[in-house]
Amino acid sequence: MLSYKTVKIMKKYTYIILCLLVCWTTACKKLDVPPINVVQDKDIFTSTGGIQAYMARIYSELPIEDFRYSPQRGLNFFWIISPFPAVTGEALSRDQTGAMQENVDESPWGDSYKLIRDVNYFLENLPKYASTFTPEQVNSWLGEARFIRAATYFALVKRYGGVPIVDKVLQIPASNVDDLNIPRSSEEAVYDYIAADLDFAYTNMSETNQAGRANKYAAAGFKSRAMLYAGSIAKYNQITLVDATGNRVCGIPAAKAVTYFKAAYDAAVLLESKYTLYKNGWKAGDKAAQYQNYVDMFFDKNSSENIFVRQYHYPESVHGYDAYNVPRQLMGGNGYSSEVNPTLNFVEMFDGLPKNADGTIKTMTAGKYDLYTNTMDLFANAEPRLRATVILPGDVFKGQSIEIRRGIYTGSSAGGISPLLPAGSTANYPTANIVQSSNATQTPYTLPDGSKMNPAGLSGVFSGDGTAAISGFSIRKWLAPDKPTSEVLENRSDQTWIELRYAEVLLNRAEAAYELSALGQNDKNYLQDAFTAINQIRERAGADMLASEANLNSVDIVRKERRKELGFENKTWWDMRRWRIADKEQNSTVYKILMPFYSANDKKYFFDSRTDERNARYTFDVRWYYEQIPNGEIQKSQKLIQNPGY
Amino acid sequence: MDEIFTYCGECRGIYYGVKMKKAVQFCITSFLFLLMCSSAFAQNKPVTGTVSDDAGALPGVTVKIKGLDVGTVTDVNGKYSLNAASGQTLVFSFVGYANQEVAITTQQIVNVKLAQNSSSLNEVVVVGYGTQKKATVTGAIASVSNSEIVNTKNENVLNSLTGKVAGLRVTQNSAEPGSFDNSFSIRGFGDPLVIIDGIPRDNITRLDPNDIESVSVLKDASAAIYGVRAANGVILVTTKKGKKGSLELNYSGTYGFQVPSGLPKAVGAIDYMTLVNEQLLHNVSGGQVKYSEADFEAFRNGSRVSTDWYTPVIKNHVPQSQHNLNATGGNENTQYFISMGITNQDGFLRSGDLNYKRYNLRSNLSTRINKNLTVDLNLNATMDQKNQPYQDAWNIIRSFWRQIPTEPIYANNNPDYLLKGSVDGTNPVSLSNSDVSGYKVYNNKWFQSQVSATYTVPSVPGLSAKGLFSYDYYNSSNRLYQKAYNQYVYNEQNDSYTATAYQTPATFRREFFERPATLTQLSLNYDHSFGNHSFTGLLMYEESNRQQDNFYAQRELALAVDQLFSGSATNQVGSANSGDIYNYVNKSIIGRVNYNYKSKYLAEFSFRNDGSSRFSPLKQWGFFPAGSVGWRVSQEDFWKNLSALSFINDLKFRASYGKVGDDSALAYQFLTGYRYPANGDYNQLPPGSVFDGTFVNGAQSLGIANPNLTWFNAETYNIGLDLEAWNGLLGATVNVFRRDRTGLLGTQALTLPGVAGADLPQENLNSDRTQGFEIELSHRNHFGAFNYFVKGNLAFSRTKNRTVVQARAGNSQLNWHNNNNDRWNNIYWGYGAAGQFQSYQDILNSSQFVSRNAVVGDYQYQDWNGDGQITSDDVHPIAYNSAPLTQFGLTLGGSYKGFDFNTVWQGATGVTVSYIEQLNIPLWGGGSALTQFMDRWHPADPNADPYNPNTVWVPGKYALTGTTADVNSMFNIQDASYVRLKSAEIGYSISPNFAKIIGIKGARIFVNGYNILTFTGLKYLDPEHPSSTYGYLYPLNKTFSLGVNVKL
Repeated sequence: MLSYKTVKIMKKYTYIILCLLVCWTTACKKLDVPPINVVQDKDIFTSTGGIQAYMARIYSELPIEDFRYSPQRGLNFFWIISPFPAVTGEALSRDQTGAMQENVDESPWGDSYKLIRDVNYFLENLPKYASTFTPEQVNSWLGEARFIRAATYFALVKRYGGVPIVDKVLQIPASNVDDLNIPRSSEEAVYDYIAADLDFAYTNMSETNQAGRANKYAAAGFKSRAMLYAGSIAKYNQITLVDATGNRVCGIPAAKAVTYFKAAYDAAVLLESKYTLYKNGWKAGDKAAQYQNYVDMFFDKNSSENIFVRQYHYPESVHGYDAYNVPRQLMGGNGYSSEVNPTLNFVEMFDGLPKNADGTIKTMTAGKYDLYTNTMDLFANAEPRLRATVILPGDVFKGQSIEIRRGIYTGSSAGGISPLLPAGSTANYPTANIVQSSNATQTPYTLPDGSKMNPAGLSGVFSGDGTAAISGFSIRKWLAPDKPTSEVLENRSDQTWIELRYAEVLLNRAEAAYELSALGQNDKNYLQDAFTAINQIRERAGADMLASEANLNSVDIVRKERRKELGFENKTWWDMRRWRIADKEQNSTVYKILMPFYSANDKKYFFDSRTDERNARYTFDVRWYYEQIPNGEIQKSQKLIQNPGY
Repeated sequence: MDEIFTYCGECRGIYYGVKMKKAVQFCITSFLFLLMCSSAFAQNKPVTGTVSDDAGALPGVTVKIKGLDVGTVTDVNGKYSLNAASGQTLVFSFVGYANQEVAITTQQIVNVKLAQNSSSLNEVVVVGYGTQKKATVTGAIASVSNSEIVNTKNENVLNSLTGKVAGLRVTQNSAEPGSFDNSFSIRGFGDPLVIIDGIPRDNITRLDPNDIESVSVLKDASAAIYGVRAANGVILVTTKKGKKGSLELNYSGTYGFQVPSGLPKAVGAIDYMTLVNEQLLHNVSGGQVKYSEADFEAFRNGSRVSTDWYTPVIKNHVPQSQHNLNATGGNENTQYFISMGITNQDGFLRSGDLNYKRYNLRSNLSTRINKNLTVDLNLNATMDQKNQPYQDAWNIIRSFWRQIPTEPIYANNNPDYLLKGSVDGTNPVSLSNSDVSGYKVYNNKWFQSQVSATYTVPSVPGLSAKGLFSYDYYNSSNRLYQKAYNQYVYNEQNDSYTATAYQTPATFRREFFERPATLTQLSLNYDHSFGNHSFTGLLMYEESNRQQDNFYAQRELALAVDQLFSGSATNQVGSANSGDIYNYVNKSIIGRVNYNYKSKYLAEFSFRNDGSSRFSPLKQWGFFPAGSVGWRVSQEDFWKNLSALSFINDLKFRASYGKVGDDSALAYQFLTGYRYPANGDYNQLPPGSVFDGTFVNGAQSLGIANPNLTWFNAETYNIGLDLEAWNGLLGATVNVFRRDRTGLLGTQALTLPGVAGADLPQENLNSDRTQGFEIELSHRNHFGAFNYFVKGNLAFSRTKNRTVVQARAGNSQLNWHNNNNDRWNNIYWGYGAAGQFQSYQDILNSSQFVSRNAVVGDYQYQDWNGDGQITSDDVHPIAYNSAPLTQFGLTLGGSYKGFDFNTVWQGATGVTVSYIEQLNIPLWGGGSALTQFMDRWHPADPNADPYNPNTVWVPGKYALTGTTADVNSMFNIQDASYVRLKSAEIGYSISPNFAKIIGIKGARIFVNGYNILTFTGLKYLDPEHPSSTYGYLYPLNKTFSLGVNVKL
């Protein structure tokens, strides 16, 4: 029997607990919880910080072939072990053994249209918030967005020919799905669209901008590039694809060549006196200074030559150029090295090397190898630009002599050394009289004087291991000259990619001028103009100068200059395509290499010029001049037609 | 009011004083009791007797004195003897029989006849928001109790459930300490909702198995009461409650060793060089060998020593232990269950740097405040820590498989200089050692609390009200130390070592996550019978709020001290993952009515009206009804009157239908906007751009919004029967089910042209159907003192796509390949196997085009379309590629006197594995080869030209080194069906008398094994080892342990 008091207390507990429960449940949450992590238009378009964040996104998506591009992996990829120069014949790489077009699966088609949508959205929405900013700011940003759109369409047109032009934000879900089935425009129309965007950009953008963003001259420079492409297609392309409505989606009428070359020329002229070739450390007649100047150009943030760059910054936005490409003896912790090894074909283009009558490198006299005390002796007079582009065997990089040696020749030295292999042989080197190493773990060979020497150099060449200078050369261009080996790692490099420099604009101008001259245009002295531009480049390079206009008697002189100057800058492939010479250059082609050997008895080096020991053959398929449009896209849109041959 | 409080305050002070004193007294006495309980019982008079059933004497029957927990067991003749005092009650209990109690007055002989019963029908099973008697359950609900769980000893409760519940599929992917890497689902539906003590919680893998009372698996419409999160079924875990009675202390502990299950080794130097040479000669244009006879001779005569990379990295026996101490007891009004546990698990790394430790603490209290009001308080604290080297275990395994056996671990064999390996530049000895390369420490903490009050409404019989509030907090705090170190290359030319620095600069990173969650329930319960009509009812309001936040910071270290404060100012990183920040609210109204007539006709209806903040205001609310009916035909009079059917004690047919939802759609897709910072990383598109030398985060458009996006719906159908016959000799449960899902999320990406240029939002577009069946059979019996039971289950399920929004296919072949509408899911497309070339003649006579590179032993793919060549057109469905289609389990156990044993057999069929990289290709990426690849076709003379028709071949499983089986072909896809002895335990319990002598209530010692035996056609690997992470995942383990249970 409970007392009255106890019952009362118990009741009190009951009420207290019930009250607490009611309190909890009345502390009701609302279902409309705003998302914590979604930013809205008003946060973006009402401050320069917001605009900068928008720009940061669209610049990061901009399809340019920089350190993070390879045809196999596409754009914006870190693992670049099948590098672009190993497709063009500029270099050999252990991971690339033949010609290729871009991997269709990595095609930039989809990503480019995403970027175009982002740009169109910006163009349509920024004006709604225009009152926040000055008209100059707004116009400059609109110009900048159109520059990006033009650069994106250029990335598409140079791959596919005519592509669908999307000039507004497409509404989805569409009232009519057919509105999204946009057919390809003619190739010509796409180039005209690019020209119009770039003209708008040039007119509206400011003269300067943050490094990493474009200014009005970048727009003009890009226009010279794009129009030169268009002119080349008009002049050299043989492929035609016309759709049902009569649009020529592949190819440009030859008659338009003059128009486009003129546009390229005029755009290039706009940059005159605004930018100059980098010559800060350059001295006339001083090869060492010219060499150092050329090296420095790629690392001087204030270079007067840089028009449009993509910057990197560790740790947020990085690449691995140094890790993949340093010579073997400077290999970093990831175990990569020497992915880009310049071919002898590339090296032979340069001045200052002993040459045979046919322009090939001279390594023999009267059927016997020439002997040199040091490997660099062969290159004693090499053009400074070559040394700044390619690490030659024995040249110094990061304070080390880069040791490249194929093996030790132990045969007799009496009467000179005969060729190790018959001319043109693609066989492996014989093992008799040659000591070699299969990899970097070497067993030293005891020389006749008792001293020891590794059969191969510290940077190769090894018989069974491709992580070495397999061509006899290693790449120097872009390699950071002062990066400690501990930082030579994947995703650890952050040197700037120079997408457009004044040398290219000069070369665009020279080529456009030459072509105009060749097409009989004489409203000014185009040949004279081209001659001046080429010699400007050559002078800075320390190369032999063209004596007179008359010496500029072939388009090949302009093209070769371009390939030397812009080598390893991921431009050559596109040049080979627009000139329509890739199929002729790569026709079961085996590229050449230069193998240094040490003769034990002579205590001297000799060089064997031969074809790629791996016997890798390159053949460019003519249909690749227009890339395959991703099949998925063809399936999705009935109005999209595929390029010929796929 | 003031008066009352003052009064109470004083009174409480006094009261507490008394209580404290009593508590101290209690503690002391109970401690003494523990020490001296051998003499704690009074001497009583002996009572003897015989226990029998219809068939005669019953051995093995437990005879206990009620409330005292002392007793004995009948001998082979059914006889027993024990001391009891008058006034005490004897309890006779035996599995399969009804308990019988006899009060002792003066009698000295007590003979008892036990009646068999169908005890399982009286079991109570936990269902959503309540409990039900098993006899009248109408849903497909399976339940396992603590005793069934703990006989598989494992650090992860899910692994202890494997094979024990029909339709609950548990696959263990790895036994890596602290990774808890399992895939589990109910009926193959997908990730189920896990409810622990009524609250959705994420720590099922970290529960102490000794704390679990039971686990219920809601497989059909019975899950629908959980509404929008229940489409994949629900697992309900209930932890133990206190028991009335004096304090009972239980200790259980195991200590054992783990052995890797299927961890291949790589070849030694001779085999390695043989394979390398073989691959080089395998070149139709002519090849040159890399290793000369002298190289082989050096290893043969011992002048060079092959490096075994396995042993310095992996230890084959590492310890594991679990301890739990719990206390339970209480009086009429208050009961408690308090438990603490410690789990330790070492990893297989020889360095000892991979290990795991967990502490569990739980306190479940229940107190009756007055006649009508009961309050429950459950508290749980779990803390665990995983230590590992800076590099993950899979990366270390990848590295030690790849290292070349001709290279030493240390440069020039000098132990001061770890070798910079020629493969990747890695050295697994460095990677596996925290002292060399740094560490990662992952700390997780769960605090879970819930308080509830149940008020029985006095004026309405059967009506009660309940309120519950829970607050859970999860926190993880990680320390990641990337230590810089050097590896070396020896240069013989000048006797020097060249150092390469790794992981520079050293960095230290801290990561912090927190997840607070609250849940409130307010409910009315009704349970009453009117004559033959029984009703139960539930009406509830539930509201939950789940939040997550995080941040991290990283600095490059200026000092070699693993703390953030010792970092330098350059390259500091500090931010939060915006994708991991959320705040979700759910609100629900839940109701259920059960009705039965004479426990014969059963019906249940439930609904849930669910609101979720993750969807647009237009689509926030959903209604999820469910209903089920049952008919216990064995309760019908006509059945009872049919003697022919009398062996069937119970037979119930049931059917259910319910609608459930799934809200796993990406939240906030009804809004446009930007993700800031943009997604991206240094491996692909970066999250922004660098302007003027400074990194600027980008704002990434979220694409197009879909204001209509909502959860997808699933309709579940289940029919089944439960049968019990011969008084428990046979039990059977059969279920046949179907789940139709509609509104599955898909995007139009495939059908919209790329020029649209936007990431499309998910839409409710697709549908599928999963169907299958389950059979459970059980049997228990005894022969004399030998008791045994068998429980088996078999489950099959498979999913078929019904609608999959699809692009127009370019041609009929593509349509056949890509169109998944009305097609089984998870089809493996690839090449069929058509044997290997046995001879040159085979190659010459081949009906297919054979490339000039072909050699004897090469794989011949099936020319599916018969056009004489192997092209992508020959790709066709060759296998099923997902979780096993069929799973089965068998538990077999028994006891004889003090001995008991328990075995769990478990297996799966309809499952394949296929591997890439090193498990597919010997010498992959310039590395070494696994030993399995020695079983290959190769020329008898290692220097013979494989293209010479006169070469003599030795046959093998794989083709000649250099020929790789197509990843998507039946040469690489292997059947991974298996049957394994998942666990086995043999125990011995000391006799109650002996226990009494040594002063305890009982004790049992046991040996236990986990993953002891495996029967499978798959060679070289554990059949459960997944192909994810390139097949490099840390292996499964076999565990052998010794343990003890002590009751004090």
